[in-house]
Amino acid sequence: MSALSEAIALKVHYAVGAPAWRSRAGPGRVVRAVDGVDLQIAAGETVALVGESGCGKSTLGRALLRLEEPTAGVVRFEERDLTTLSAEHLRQRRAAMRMVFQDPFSSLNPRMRIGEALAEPLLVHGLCNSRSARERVAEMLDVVGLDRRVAARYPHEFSGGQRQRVAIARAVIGNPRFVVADEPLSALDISVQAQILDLFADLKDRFALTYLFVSHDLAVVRHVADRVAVMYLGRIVEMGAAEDVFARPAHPYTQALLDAVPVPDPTRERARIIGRLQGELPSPMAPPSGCRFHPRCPRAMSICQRDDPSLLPVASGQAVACWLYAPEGGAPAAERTPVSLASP
Amino acid sequence: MSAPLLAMTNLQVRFGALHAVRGVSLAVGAGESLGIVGESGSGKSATMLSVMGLHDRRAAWVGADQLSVGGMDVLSAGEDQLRALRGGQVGMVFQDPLSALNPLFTAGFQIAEVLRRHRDLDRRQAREGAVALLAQVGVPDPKRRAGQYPHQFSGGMRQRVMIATALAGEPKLLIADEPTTALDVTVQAEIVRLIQDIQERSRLGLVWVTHDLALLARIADRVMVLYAGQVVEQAPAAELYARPRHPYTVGLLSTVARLDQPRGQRARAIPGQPPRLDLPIVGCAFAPRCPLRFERCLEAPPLIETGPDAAAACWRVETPA
Repeated sequence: MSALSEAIALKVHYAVGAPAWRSRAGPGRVVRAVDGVDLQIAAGETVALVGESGCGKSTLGRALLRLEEPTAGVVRFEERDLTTLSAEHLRQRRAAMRMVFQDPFSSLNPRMRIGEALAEPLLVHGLCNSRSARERVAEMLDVVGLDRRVAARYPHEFSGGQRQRVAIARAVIGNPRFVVADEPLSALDISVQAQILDLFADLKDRFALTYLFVSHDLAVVRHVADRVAVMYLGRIVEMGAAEDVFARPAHPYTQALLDAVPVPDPTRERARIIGRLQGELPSPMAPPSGCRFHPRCPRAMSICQRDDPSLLPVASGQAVACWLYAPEGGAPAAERTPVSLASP
Repeated sequence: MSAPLLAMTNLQVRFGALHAVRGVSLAVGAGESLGIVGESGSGKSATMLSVMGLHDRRAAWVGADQLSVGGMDVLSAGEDQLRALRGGQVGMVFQDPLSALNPLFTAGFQIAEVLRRHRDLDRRQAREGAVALLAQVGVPDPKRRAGQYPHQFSGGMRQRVMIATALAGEPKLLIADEPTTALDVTVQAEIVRLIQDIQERSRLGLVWVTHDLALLARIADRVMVLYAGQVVEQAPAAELYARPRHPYTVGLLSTVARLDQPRGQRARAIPGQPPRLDLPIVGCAFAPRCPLRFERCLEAPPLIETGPDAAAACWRVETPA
């Protein structure tokens, strides 16, 4: 099976603060937003990429479309290496891979009518002349459940949910094969979120799309994702079929993320122990030694402070980067003793 | 029962032609927690801004048969009295702490300012008090953090600073308007637990406003559902989640993505959109989206009692489908 979109040993680092040559403190500080990720997305799949803010999930999503410049590693789309593509060739590819952003208020130009905003990708990529673009826009508005007449109106006249429909229509109108949706629901009311999820599902069937959903909320992506990748501080720590990851989360971080989601049932909710995950995401400028999750991990062992676990398959089907699941002999027994972590 | 901390009867809020709140009544006593749930435009935030007299009087018209906090009539109160109320008897925590905190002053200074204004402490006492409050809300290394500016805090820590500011005036009533919406689920869980601990320990009256019913399951003793500026259902939490009576509440519950149910059961969307609030609403406001509507819904239903301390504004309570 060949992948539609693929990252190999991908790193995306940013320099922050003054450039190195001006900084007295020596080389500038570096944010390791994505720090060694392998990910394959097959055609027709929906993959959810989940993690807390600052874990690098948005950067990874953008890097797959080469909206970010990789520091190291390879990004491929339909087996072509995007990192070596010329600007012109890259531009030609852009029609096939599109993005939907979190905030439908800032992702649409306030001075462009809806119809113009929708026609723009068609005209830019030379997919239509302006007359057939108008027809295509009208069709697309039907598809996303908006009245054709809204083409003449401006973004501010719409609610958040309607605006997200426009943004989705704009992403899909040029018949892309791959869509990265970065937190497309988190600015919306819960009641509207369900409508937009339905729309994504409908478009996928209609246009044979492949999705990467980037989200901080596991509950939301549960019903749409075929596979889930959980990201922590620039790395994927667990990845597998959605039913496996949700039924038997293996990594303590995935377990904590699932524990944090509230359930609409007062009896269960009041009995639930929440907030088990202590502390905050450490700075991606200075990730902790060993396993990056160990300072917050309720099950950390001595080996976790020193050695970085790699992503390996476990019995329940998914792959996990955690020493708890290392094959016997992977670490000496003495190093598997739990350590107590000093909590402030 | 002692007089409620917050008593509101038939609240009306209009912004010009837009009739945002259409007759909301509620009461909250010490140690009680009320959850108010609704979509954007349901009037939930406009209702809570009225409690603190925070509406711009040039833009909004606010009226009620009764609106009192700790016995004080908010509608007739002067600006001085309202200022003493906000941050004093009533603490507030908003969705976006970055815009609610002043970026030019340190976290410690902003908390100390409330202590000096409402608790009459001197400069040194206030500074120490601010550090103690930061420690109480779980900010690590509070002494150092007190000297930092809002932008130096993460989203979750900033919300803790906001909570410390709200607690500084020793409020009897805490109003939380979507305090966790901008946060990661993991941080959300910590903030929920923090506010819950504080509320239970100090027996505060708590009003928590949100669009997320799942979140309220843990915090709220009672839940009130708003739709188009009206109360459509209210009930003790245990009752509301187990036996929702209004079709809108049923719809809201089914839109929540639940991790405690099999994966095949997808969240179901409520079709359609809420009505425009700048036009008169004829009959039941939810009827155009309601799967159970019948002839009688052309007439607006009153809140009909459905049990002890529970009511729903739906004719189907009397005439089951």
